[in-house]
Amino acid sequence: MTTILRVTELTKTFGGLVAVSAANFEVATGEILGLLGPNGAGKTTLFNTIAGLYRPTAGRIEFRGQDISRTKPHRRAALGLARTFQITQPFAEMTVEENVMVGALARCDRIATARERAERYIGFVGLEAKRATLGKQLSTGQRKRLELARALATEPKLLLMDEVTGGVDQSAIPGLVDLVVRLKQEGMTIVIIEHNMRVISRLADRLMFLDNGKTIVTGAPAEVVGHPTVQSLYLGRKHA
Amino acid sequence: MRAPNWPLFLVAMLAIALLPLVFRNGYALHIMILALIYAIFAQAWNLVTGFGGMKTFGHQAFFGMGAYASALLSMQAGLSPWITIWIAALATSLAGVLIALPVLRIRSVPHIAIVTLAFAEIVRIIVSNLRGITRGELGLIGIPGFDALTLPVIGLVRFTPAQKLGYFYLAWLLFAVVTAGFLAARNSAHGMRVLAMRDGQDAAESLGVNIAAYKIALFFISAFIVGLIGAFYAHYIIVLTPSSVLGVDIMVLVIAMTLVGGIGTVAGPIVGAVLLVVSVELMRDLGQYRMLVYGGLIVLSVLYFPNGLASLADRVRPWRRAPERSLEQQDNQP
Repeated sequence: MTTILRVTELTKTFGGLVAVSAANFEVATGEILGLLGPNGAGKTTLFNTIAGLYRPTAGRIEFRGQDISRTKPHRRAALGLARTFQITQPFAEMTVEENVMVGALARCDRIATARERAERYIGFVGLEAKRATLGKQLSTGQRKRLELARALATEPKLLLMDEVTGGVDQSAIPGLVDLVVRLKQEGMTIVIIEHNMRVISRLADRLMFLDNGKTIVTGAPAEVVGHPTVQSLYLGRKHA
Repeated sequence: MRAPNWPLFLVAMLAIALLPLVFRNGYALHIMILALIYAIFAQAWNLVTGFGGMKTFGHQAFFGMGAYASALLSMQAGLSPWITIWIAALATSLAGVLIALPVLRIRSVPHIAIVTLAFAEIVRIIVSNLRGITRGELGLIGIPGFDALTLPVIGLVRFTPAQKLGYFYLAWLLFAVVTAGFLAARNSAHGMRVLAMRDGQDAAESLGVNIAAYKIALFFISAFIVGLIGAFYAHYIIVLTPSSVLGVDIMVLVIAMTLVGGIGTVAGPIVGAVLLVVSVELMRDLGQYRMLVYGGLIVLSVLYFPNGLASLADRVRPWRRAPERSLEQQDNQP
């Protein structure tokens, strides 16, 4: 498997606050890497820096062999990097179909083609019945699905998913997890932030645990979950 | 996504073109010309604010710059207004790009409003103080009207204060072209990207939308249209003062028109412009109370029709969008 994303000594600071400190990791094509950590660990900042929302203070991000550390977010999308948001950001006054079409328009300029592609991904996430509903009228779970469809419509090579099940009704979680499982089966490369340990252990090939901007441990799910610092910080258990 | 209703557009344009057959006198023509001018102006402002999501408060600068640039070029360089209106529009659009550059760095709504308002005030003060060129508040007088044209079938068309029919059809033509452009653009790939930018810049950018390029393009196009209609206004009114074309009251009026009609829609600014221009004339008999009633009408329409009067068309045609269930009902769905 080839490396699609390589992050080297990536640091992001906000004034005196070090949100991400010298992060180093690689993501292989077809792999799912899960990011874990308590609130304020720097997971979303790391995501935003990889996606281009924040400029790195130091370090390097390579995507598909290119240095994208200073590349604008829309150019990163064109290269095949897509994302969903921790706090969902649907285009409120646009319908579900239009939302997903905007994603599809990253790869084509024809409205008819974009609509066809949008239909495919609306079907994939199960929002067919909501095609004509405005983004602002969706529930949180539906918004999560919409964001996934919108990101997939850009035909990404790497998908960054921020808290797939965050803020979602318990009954809606299995459906969302199934979508990620289907993407995994189709060979999609994903970096995923998820607080639900059971969910992330099921989905990810590898886990990376962060705390206070620093990488504590990276490895197989069982190895990371069993790590004493993870047990202490995340599960509230005392060191053995 | 609703496809543009081109047959309705053509019927509406034909109906407007036939209005002078019903309202023949110069006063009625003047009101109709003003309504068309403001409808174009409001549509252009709506492009940046209603569609682009940048709450600007300084488009009167573009109107005044277009008006003064075209008037001065025709008076001092002796060029035909048929040429100067395009030069003025282009110059104004470049000014639009200049003001777009600081706006690129600002996302806060009040800050964008104040930066653009400050820009417009700077332009007004400069024009007021360049008395050697503009005569300041004494007013620029003797602005030439458009040269007469000989058209096939129609014959000689004159543009004078006494013969307003030519002005009416020129304003109508500009209005038709601008409206058709907005109708087509609203439903294009570019239009969808602009709407996405309005609803969420970070999300749009993550989907490949070049936010900076679209913001600059919107300001360029909007300033071009407002500059062009400002230039037309100068050669129609033939007297300019800084307060008549650069005053903040013009911006307030255009904002009111767009809000009353429906911001973020193609039809809204047109409906609002026609309604406010015509209603203020119909209320002339009320004398000094006219503006009171006028203000009250604006407040009531914004209160009771927050999506604008143009949205009434959707209310009387409920089948066009399926009724939505409440979020509570949806929450348990996947």
